[in-house]
Amino acid sequence: MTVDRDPRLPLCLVVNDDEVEVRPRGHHTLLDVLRRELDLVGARPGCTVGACGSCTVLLDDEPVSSCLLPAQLVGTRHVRTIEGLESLAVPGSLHPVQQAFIDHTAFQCSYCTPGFILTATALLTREPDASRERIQAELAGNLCRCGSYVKIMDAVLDARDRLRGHHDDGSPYDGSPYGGAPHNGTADQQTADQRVADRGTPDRGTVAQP
Amino acid sequence: MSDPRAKVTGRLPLLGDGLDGTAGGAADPGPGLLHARLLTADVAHARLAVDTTPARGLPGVTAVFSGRELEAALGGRPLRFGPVLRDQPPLAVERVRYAGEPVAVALAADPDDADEALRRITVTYDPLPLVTDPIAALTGATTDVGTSAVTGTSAVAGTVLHPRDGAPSAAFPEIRLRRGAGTNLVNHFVIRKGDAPGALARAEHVFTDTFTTPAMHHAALENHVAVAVPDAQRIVVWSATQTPYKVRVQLAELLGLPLDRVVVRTLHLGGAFGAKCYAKIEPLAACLARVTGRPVRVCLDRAQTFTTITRHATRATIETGVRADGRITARRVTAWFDAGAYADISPRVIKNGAYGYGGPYDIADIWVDVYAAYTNRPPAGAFRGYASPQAAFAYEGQTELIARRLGVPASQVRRVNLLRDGSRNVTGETMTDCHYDTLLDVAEHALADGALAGGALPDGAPDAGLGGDADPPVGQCLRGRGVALTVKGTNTPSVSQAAVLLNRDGSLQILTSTVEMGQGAHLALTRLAAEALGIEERMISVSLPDTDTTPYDQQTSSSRSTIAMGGAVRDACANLLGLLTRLAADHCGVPAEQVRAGGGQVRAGATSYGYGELVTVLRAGQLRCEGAYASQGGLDHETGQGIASSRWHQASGSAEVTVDVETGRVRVLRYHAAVWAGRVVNPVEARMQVEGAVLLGLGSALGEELGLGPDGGQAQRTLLDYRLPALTDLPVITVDLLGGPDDEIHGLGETAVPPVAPAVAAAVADATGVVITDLPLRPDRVLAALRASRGFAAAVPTSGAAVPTSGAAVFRDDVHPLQLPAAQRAEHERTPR
Repeated sequence: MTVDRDPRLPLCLVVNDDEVEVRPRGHHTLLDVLRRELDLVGARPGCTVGACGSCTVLLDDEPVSSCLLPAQLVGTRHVRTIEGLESLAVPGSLHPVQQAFIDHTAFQCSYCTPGFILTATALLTREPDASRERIQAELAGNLCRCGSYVKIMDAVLDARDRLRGHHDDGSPYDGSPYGGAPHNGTADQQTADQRVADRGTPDRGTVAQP
Repeated sequence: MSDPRAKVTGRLPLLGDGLDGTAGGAADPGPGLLHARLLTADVAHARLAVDTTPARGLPGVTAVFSGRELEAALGGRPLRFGPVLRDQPPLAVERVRYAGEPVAVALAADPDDADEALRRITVTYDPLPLVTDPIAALTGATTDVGTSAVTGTSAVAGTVLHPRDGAPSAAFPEIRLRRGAGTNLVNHFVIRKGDAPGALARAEHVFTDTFTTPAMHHAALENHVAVAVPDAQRIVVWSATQTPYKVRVQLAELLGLPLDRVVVRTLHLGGAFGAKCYAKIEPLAACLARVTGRPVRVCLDRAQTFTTITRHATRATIETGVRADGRITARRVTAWFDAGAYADISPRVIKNGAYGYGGPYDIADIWVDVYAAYTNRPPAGAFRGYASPQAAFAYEGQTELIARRLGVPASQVRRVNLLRDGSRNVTGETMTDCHYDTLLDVAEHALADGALAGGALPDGAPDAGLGGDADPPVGQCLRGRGVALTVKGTNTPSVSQAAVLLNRDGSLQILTSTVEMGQGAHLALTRLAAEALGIEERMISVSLPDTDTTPYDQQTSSSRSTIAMGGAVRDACANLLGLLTRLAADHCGVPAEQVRAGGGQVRAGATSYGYGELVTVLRAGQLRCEGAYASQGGLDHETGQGIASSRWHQASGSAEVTVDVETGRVRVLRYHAAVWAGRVVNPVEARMQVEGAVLLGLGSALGEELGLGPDGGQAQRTLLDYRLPALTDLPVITVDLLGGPDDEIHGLGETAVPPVAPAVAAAVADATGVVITDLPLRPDRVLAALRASRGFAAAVPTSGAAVPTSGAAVFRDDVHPLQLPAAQRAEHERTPR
C-alpha cells in the first residue's frame, strides 16, 4: 500500500500545566490536537483562518488562534485552554472573568465565549488597568454573531474591576443567578410605557388622519 | 436548561465535539464512526463527470461516492430532498448548479485518510452557461440595471437549471405554488388587494423606485454538523438543526421510511439564524449511514457552510401613488428573489416578502408580485427576519423618497398611513394590537436628546466603525439621524406540543422539541412553567429535542417559540394543575371545587400537599400532562388575502450616523431599538435578542455582502473576506421593550432586525441629502452617490423625524460612540427622554 505521506510523529506539549504526549501529523494544528487527541473541545473551529477567535487559546499567557498554529511549532510554550482556566482561580470557583460572564449573561449560544474569556483574561493579566478602548480593541479579534457585545463589555469591565480588587460602587460582589431572577422586568416595562405617556401625545400637526 | 457554568467553561455539549463524535457522551453514535469529507465543485454550472476510482482502496478509506454512485448504492432511484420541492441531491448528479456544491464524498475512520482520498478524485466539468440574475433567469434576457446586487453578468436565454421538476415534499404539503415547469421560476406569490392599477392611474403623484439588497451569510460560528446512526429497523440522526421534526419528514421521504423509523435529535446549537432550518447535510449523512451500515459524521468547514445556504439577494420596484399630504393611495410592487440553485424554502420566504412590502401602512389598493428564481448561486433560504429586512429596506427607503419629493417630513408620511386597530392590512386582515404610533413616538424622541453623542462620553476614543477599519476620519463628517418603522409576521398557521412530567420530589421536566441555539427559549419556557405552577425555576429542567420522546413542534424559527411552545407549556401546566386537583379531590374525598392547586401546593379542605408529596402519597410514580398551541390562518392562493400571521412583530429603529465625505465611510454612533414586546418573560434575554438583532442589522446595512467572483462562483468564502460586526463596531445601543405584564407575549428574535438598515440609510440621507437605494452602504457606494449628487453638502434635507437639530451639520468627527458603563447606560435607559 501507499506510504503515509504525512505520518504521525510524537510530540510533547504542556497543556493546562500538564505534560502530555500527542501524535499529530505535520499539517495538524494545535486546534486539531486539542480537539482530536486531548478532547479539549472548548477551543472551537469557527473560520479556520484566524478571523473569528473561537479557537483562541493562551500560549505563554498570550492569546493565539490555535487553528493557525501548527502543533509542531508550539514547542515548550505553555498552552492554556478554557478547561485550564479554573485552576488559575480559587480552587472550586470559576476564574473571575468566567464568573463575570455569568453574572452579566455575556453570551447567547456561547460558541465564542471561551475565546472571549481567554482573550480578556490575557489582557487583564497583562494590563490590569486596561481602558475600555483597549478592551474593545483587544477583543475585536473575537466575533460573536449572536451579538452579545454589550454584555461582553460589561462583563470584562466588571472583571477588570474585580481583579483590581474594588468595585466602582463600593458594593461587595454578589453572584446573581443566571438569567436574572426577576430582573425587575415588570418595572422595566412600566417604565417604558410610562416614558411614552410622559412625553404625551406627540403633536401631529394639522395632518388629517386617514 | 443548561448550566451557565457550561457556557463559560466550554463544556456545553455541541455536536461537533468529542474524540469519537459523541460530544462528550451527550450523543451516542456507537462504535465504528466514519468521518465524511466532501469534495465541492469549483465551477458554478457544468455537466459533471466524477472518477472516484483512484481514491478507492487507500489505507483507512472505507468508501468513496460520487452522486451517481451513491444513488446506485441505494437502489438506483434518484435521491432528492427539499422542504417544498424535492430538487436537491445530497451529491450533485450529472450537473453541478453552484460553486461549492458537493460532488463526491470519502469516508474514513480518520478524517485525514478521507481527505487524502478526496485528493485522488478527478472531476471533469463541461461548462454550461451561467445564470446569475433572477430576472434574466426568468426572461431569458440580460438586464442592464447598473450595479444592483442581483444584476447578472452572463445570463443566457434558455438556460434552465432544473429541466425536470422536483416532486413536492411532505414537509410543507400546504404550500401551493405558482410556477411553470421547465422554467427557472421557483414560485410566484401574488397579493391582490383592491385595484392597484386603477388607483395608481388616479393618484395625485406616483413615485417609482427600485431597491436592492445583496446575498448574505448567516455566519453561525458553529458550522453545519450531523451524525447519522443506522440500525436494522430505523435510523437515528443527530443534527445541529432548528427543525428536528421537519428534518424527520424530509429524511423519511428520502429513505422511503415511515416517520416512526426516523429519529432526529439535537444538542445545543452554536447559533443558527435560519441557516439550520430544514435538511441541509442530514440527507447525505443518512444516505451514507444506510449504505455503509455504520455511523457517519458530516461536519462542514467554513467555506462549505458559506455556500450551503444564504440570505436572498433581492430587487424590488415599488410604484406608489400618494396624495400631496403623503397619504398612500395605491401601491404596486414587483420583486425578484434570487433563490440560488435549489428551492429550499424560497417558495415560503417570498410569501412573507410579498405581504411585507405593505409595511406598517394602511394601503387600500395594493398589488404585489414576488418571483423567486433559480440561479447558479448557492441556495438561499430562511434568514433571521425572513424577507422582512429586504422588504423594509425598500418600503422605508421609499417613505424617505416620497417625503423628500413632496416636501413633507417623513414623519408625516408615516403618520397619515399607519395601521391602527381596525385598519385592514395588506392581506385584508382587520388589525388589532397595533402599536405603530407608540413605536414611532419612541423612535422620533429616542435621539432627540443629544446628550449621548457629544464630548461627554468617557475617555475619548480610537476611531472605528463597521464599514471601515480603525482609521481616523479623513474628511468632514456629516451627521444625520434617521428612523424606520417595520412589521414582521410569524409562521402561521403553526402547531407546538409539549409535555410536563411531575416527579415525586416535586421537580418538573419539560419535554419540548424547541431547539436551544442561544436565543434563551429554554429559559423562557422554564420561567413560564414556574409561573404557571408557582414553583421555583431551579426545580425545572428542559429536555433537548428528540423526536422519539419530545412532542411535536413545527420548528424553532420565526420568533415563535415563546409564544407557541410557551403556549403549549402553559397549557400542559394548566392541565397538570387540573389533574392534581382531581387526584387530590379523589384522595381526600372532597368535591373538586373545594380543591385549590397552585403555588406549589394542592389544598383539599384542611389538607395540603406539596406537588411532589401528592405524587408520593398517591403512589402515582410520575404525573404527565400534555399541552398544545395552534394558530390559525392562511392566505388565499389567488389574492393573497387572509390571515398572514398570528402575531405582528412591530418595531422601530433610530440611528445616528456620521458620513465621511472624503471616504464615504458611514459610522453608526448610536442606535435605539424599540419593539412591541407585549409581556416580557425574561427581560435579560429579551434585551439581548434585540441587541443581537441590531448588530446583525448593522452588518447588513454597512458591510455584509456576498458577491460573485469572475468565474460566477460566490466571491466570499472565508470570514476574512466577509467581515462581521466586531466589538469595535459597537455603537451605543439602547433598547425599549414596550408593553406590560397584561399584554400578550410577542416574539422578539427577529423583530428588531428589519428597521436597522432603513434607519441607517435614512440617517445617511439626513446627513447628505442622498437616499441610497442599494445595500450595503459601502464607502465606495456612498462616495459614488455623494459625487453623483451635486452640491450634496449644501443641501438641507427634509428632516424625516422629529429631530430638528440634525440637518446636514458639518463638524469634525473627533469623538467616538463609546459604550457607556453599565450603570450609566441603565440610567440612560430608565431616564425619560
